[in-house]
Amino acid sequence: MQTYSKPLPKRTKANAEFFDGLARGELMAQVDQQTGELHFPPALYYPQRLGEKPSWSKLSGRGRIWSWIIMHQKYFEGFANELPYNVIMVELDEGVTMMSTLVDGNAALEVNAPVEVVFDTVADGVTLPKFKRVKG
Amino acid sequence: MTKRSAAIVGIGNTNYGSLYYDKDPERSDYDLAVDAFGQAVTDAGIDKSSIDAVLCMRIPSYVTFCDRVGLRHVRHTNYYEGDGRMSGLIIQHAVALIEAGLAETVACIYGNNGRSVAAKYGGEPRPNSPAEYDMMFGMTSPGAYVSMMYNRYRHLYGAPDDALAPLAINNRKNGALNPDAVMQKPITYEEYMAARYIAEPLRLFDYCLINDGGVAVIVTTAERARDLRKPPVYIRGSSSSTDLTNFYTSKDMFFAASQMAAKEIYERSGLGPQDAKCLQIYDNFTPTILFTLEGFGYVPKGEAWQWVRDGRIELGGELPVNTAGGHTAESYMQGWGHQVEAVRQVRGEAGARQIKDCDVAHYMCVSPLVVSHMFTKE
Repeated sequence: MQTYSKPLPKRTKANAEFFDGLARGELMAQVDQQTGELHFPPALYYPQRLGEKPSWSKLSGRGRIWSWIIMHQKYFEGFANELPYNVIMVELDEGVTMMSTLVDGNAALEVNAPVEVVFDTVADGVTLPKFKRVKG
Repeated sequence: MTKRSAAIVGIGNTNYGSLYYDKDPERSDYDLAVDAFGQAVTDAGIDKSSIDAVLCMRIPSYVTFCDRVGLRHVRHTNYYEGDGRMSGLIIQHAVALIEAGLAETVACIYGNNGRSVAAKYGGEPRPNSPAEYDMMFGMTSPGAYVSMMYNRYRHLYGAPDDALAPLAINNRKNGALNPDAVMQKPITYEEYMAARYIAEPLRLFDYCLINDGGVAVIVTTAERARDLRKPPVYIRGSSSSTDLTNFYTSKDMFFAASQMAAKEIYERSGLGPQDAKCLQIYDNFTPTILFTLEGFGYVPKGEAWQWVRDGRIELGGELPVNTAGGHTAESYMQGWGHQVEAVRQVRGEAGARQIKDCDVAHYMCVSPLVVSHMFTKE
């Protein structure tokens, strides 16, 4: 595979399980064992329980499009060939919110549409959680 | 002890238009700040040596600035990062320093050479920040996060494709009456609609205008203000609140935070939405104007896009908004230009765009840090 030219967070102690989960085909988020509260993106400490190391929980991967945009401006060289590309803000059923891509294309963008995660291996050792539309 | 109150006594700014058309990569943000400072000192009619506090934004160092203007021994100084939300906070802190007796006369200073050094506001690496989890999908730039919020707003409240046009058109119309503004020509509805998308649904004219410029504001005690050259403009109330998450996209469009700041400023100033003669609304992107009008109780939630139509926010309309042209026509001075315009309107110095009997101007900045002031004649 060619060198991956898009931005990517550096692998750290805090996010290793997130990326390992993606490689296994699992969308993982950090969870507070006592309250069940989920956090994204990963961090070394819980916001509400400072000093304790978070646990991980597998998410269903299902959610809804909270909103979407179509990016027409070139900000990243690595995305230049994909303009105009979409970005969706997904609200997962468990309450976690994240940015992602709708793989069905820009014409399928719709606020509140139900979606499900798909695991896209974009480079050696790099799998990203993207989403596809599903029936509600 | 009775609380001391504060007033703005001096304002200064560069001419944004001439800087726009004369791009110069060697232009120093300090020079722009020094230019504005000199104008503000003259405007106030004070001796520069009476300034005992200097708060700087965006220019990298207060040390260099103070050295450049010969203020070696002040009592208080600080630097604020170059995010627009800080411009209101600086004025609030100047007031707080004066009220607390920690300073008598505060110079608030801003210098920005963003256009000349090709500032992008998107795509910059942000190592170890939550933004990296957005960038891996190509998500970047404050405009795109605002566009994400606005698209949700559109869906919730049925705003049509052209809902932002009156905001962009109003700014350009006002800019044409402001000799300092970059954009001196109004735009038509057709021109607005035909412009390219940046982060759809936002179009080119929904975006602020990155530019060079300097602004300075001098604040002192109400007592000193009475004897100075220009009529004082009082800061009758100031408030702030936050909505801090890992996205610039706020799921309630900063509504809860805005309501909190609104309640406080209306209580502190004893004034309400019915009292303001003009609104100076931080408009990094046009949808922010809608979120602000709703968050501060000027319009019921979900209705601002309808309310801003039919000339209501234009000069001569029911409640003029961004009378100097705002960030999309005057210049992206990150809220500084809006606050200076509030002072000019209350002083009665706004020339062709002057509002009659403007005794109250309300400044609002809605962002992860919400800041609001009431500028008044009395």
